[in-house]
Amino acid sequence: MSTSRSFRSFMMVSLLIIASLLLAACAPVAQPTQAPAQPAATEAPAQPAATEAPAQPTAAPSGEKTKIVFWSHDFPPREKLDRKFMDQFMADNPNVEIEYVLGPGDDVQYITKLMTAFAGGEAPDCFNLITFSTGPLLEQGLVAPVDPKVYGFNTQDELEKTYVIGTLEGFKKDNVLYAMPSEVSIYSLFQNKQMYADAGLDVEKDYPKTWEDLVPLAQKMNKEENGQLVKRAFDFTYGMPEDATSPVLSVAGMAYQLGGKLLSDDGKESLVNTEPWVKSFQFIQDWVYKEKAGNPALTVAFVDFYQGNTAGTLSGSWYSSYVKEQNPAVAEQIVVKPFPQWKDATNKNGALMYAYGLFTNAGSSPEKQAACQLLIKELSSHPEDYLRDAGLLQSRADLPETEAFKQDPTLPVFLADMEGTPYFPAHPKAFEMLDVLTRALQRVVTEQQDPQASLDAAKAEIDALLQQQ
Amino acid sequence: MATSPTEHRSRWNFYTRRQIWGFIFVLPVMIFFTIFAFYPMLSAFYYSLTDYNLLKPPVFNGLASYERLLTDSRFLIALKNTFVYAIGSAIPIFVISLGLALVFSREFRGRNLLRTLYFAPVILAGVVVAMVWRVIYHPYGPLNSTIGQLLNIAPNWLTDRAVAPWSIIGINVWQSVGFYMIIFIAGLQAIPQDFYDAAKVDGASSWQSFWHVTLPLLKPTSLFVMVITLINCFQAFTYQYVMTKGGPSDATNVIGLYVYQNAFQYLRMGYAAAISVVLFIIIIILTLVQLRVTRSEEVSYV
Repeated sequence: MSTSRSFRSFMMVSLLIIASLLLAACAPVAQPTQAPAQPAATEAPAQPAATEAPAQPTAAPSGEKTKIVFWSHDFPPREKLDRKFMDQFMADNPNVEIEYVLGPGDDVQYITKLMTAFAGGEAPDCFNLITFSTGPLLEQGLVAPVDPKVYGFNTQDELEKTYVIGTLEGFKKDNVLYAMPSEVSIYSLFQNKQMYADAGLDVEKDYPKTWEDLVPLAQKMNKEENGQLVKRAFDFTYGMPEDATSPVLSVAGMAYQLGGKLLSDDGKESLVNTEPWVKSFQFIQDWVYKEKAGNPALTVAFVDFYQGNTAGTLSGSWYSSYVKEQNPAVAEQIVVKPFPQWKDATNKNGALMYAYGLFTNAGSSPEKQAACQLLIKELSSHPEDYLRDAGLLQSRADLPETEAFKQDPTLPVFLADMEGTPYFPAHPKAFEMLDVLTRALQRVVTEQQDPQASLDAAKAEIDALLQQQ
Repeated sequence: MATSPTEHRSRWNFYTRRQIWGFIFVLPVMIFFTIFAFYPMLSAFYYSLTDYNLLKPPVFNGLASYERLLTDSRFLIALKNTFVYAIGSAIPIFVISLGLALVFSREFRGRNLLRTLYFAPVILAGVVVAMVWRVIYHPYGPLNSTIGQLLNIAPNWLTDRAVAPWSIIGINVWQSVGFYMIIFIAGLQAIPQDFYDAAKVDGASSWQSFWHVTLPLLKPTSLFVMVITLINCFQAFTYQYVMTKGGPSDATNVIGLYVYQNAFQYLRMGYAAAISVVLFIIIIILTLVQLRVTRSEEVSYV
């Protein structure tokens, strides 16, 4: 009897404790702090009054320093400069302390980490983020607008005029600017001059101006050993784990040249199964299987390029400094040429643009937000250093006048490719759309699926995403 | 015989004290399980009934996520891949680990060294194993430049959709057999020698002894190995995430990875929770089957 009583008591107390713990656990989960109300879609961008002084970081009420956390993805050439200017900033603002946190260099991993931090209420006060993943943050009002007063301007329009036209579009929602660019990027054609010479060619004359030029070039330059391609004239990246997003920017650029678009004008339907996309996907499939000029199984082209085995790859201006770090000998051979065009192109554009922007967390305290705005201004005030030492284009309108720009013959190519080239749409589902297109490309190049069928499936997936909006 | 009030009080005190102490001893484990097992499970079930994108509060949407699962071709592909991965791993793991256990149950020179070598992969972190095998599987890597050249083949181990799932199964088998070998060795050592002696007296060959003595008496161990292997395989994530990210074009995507992608890459936590609940049910069914079968197959050596 005592045993059963003991068991009953034990069970009752246990259940009570478990129930109370579960009740406690069912309390509302921590949510990211909501941002202050943003201007409605139809409103003009809210601008601070002309006479208002820019917000200043103030010491915390206790007299302690204002500590801000800044996150960025790992890119060693930029990190050195970030640290240098942050040290300078802290010396000029002794009441501010910055914790600089480097996340993964891989965009997917970095974005995952950042979004999880927002979900857990542990997001940094300011951060660097790529355009196609900013949609959810803008939509939820989790980032603060840029304060033009910090930059000495009365209005956002005045601030925008100091940048190359169109290059801030990736950071805007309802015409309000939410970030300053740490890097504006587009993929142009990197060539290894020495590899051309080794094949008896002159890179200046023989580089591929059109997509159609690539096949005869590969026939001249590719080398095989034991049935394996060991030297490649050029290769695409195919969305393999090492580089999951960039191939879509290139293949989308190819499709846009033929009049293709990702979404209909009203944004309600995907157009990825139209002829321009199918032709672009078909070209890449033929490149692998019909021409046997490239192969998705081989070392990804942008790695093989700095290893000196691939003579051509598509990448951004930042890539030069990266190659210099990995293999200085190859870096000396770099020649950058425009993104190839179709012979029957209807639009002259490059690969779709992307950018990284410096954002302020709208959920941070006003002191921290003010400190972040000033820090972002500091990091945006040295475009020449970032260009010279890290190859990063901050797209300031006066940048072409700087010595660093004039001394680098590759930079005008990138700027020229940017003309008339749109950003990959900063849609709230942009990141998923990239994933859908990456898988569509993988199906075409790894299982030889018919491009039309693959893109029909991609369209269905993207349309489903649009309907979830 | 009736007890005096004093006796009754002291006994009551004894039982009360015993209950309190017993309760205190199990309390930490109860709290641990409540916080780290029961709460997440209940939360997952709750979130599976909501539309939750991590950045704004969840909104109840009933069974919408479950309805969507039925028409989500990627989920069905991941489910199929998970079954292929589980069965494709479980069978070779079972056969190889049992074979190794039979070999290492016998005395021979160098037995301990070899046993340690076979067990070594078990202690390595899955991420490390995946990174190393990524190098080995590279088209110009050691595998293609040795065996590949000998056989005059050069498979694309991780980028050919027909090959990639089996490449990952191979790694799982390689890393797991050492662990299950130890379990089988323990099972073999628990079989009394008398049975083998009796079989020998009856003129049984080694094969007959194995078939009619060893295998039947190893049934509980075998079932345990099979079910634990299947459960581990259904929770697969690391190799697929590190080596292929589920590609090429979802050929190696498994449920665990698909949950991660939905929750943290696509910010669809509610939907990811629904997939987790389905995975939970599959694993629970497997566990119940195991408990049922092992209970009915309990072996007595008496």
